[in-house]
Amino acid sequence: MTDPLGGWVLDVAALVAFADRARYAEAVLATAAQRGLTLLVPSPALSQAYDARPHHIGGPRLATLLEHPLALVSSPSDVPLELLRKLAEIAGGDQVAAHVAYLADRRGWSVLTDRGELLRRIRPGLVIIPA
Amino acid sequence: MAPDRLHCLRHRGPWSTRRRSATVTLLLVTAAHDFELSADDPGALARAVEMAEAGSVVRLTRDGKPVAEVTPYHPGLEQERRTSENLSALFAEAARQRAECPDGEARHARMMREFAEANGGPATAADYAQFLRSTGMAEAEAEAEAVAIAEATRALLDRHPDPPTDRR
Repeated sequence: MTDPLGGWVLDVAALVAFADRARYAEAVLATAAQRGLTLLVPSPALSQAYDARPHHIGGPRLATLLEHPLALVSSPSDVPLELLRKLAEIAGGDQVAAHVAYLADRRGWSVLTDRGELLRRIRPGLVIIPA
Repeated sequence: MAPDRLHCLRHRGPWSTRRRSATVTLLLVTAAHDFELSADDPGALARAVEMAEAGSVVRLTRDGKPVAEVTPYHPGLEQERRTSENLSALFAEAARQRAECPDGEARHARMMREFAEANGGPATAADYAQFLRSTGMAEAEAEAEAVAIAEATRALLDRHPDPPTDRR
């Protein structure tokens, strides 16, 4: 199955799986490659994942993901500031979650995350893939 | 320092970081104010701090001469700085890896091989099926696609048999 216009948004937990080189991340990457899915990496989530593991171990692994042809990094500067603030308010001030939810909602893509409830509170109807 | 002058503090924030490049964002400071330190006005320093917290640059003076500046503190600034540093380090490492292995498919193969090494062998069709079911895919479809993924990954590794550089 190939869906060249589709993709997944990677939240912090999914990115940490890449930093851990976990089987989950292996499945994400292989499936995305097979289906031609873009892996959208929100830069604040990336930074949090980087901080979640020792930098000398997780850093090169996350950097490898960034250089993967399927990966695309998204900056919050792409989101209207006022909208980002409003979404973050719903998320109890969590701008990272707000950014992730916005990206998924805007593109109509699923989110790989371990906090689906929060993201659905920000943007009801998001499709969540447990990470 | 002239009152009401705009000051731009140059810093690299996470909101300005794009793939493989970082631009500069501007933090606008609303105004500058002078506060004379005097024994007759013990509350001056507290007011100066309050104004700095509100975004103003405050110049403390004694006998009309500047003795210190209270600069604004933005609660998110430290986090932004750290985020920016994290991303800079990641992008620098990513650029290094790309230079080392310019071919995209070869980088993909290297990554899959590293996953296999870390997990005691490549993922099986059963592993992929388990993940696909978590995406909401129906059982039969998940199993069929998992087999295809496993085969495609094996073919990829056959095309790129070179052992990966150990970066762990």
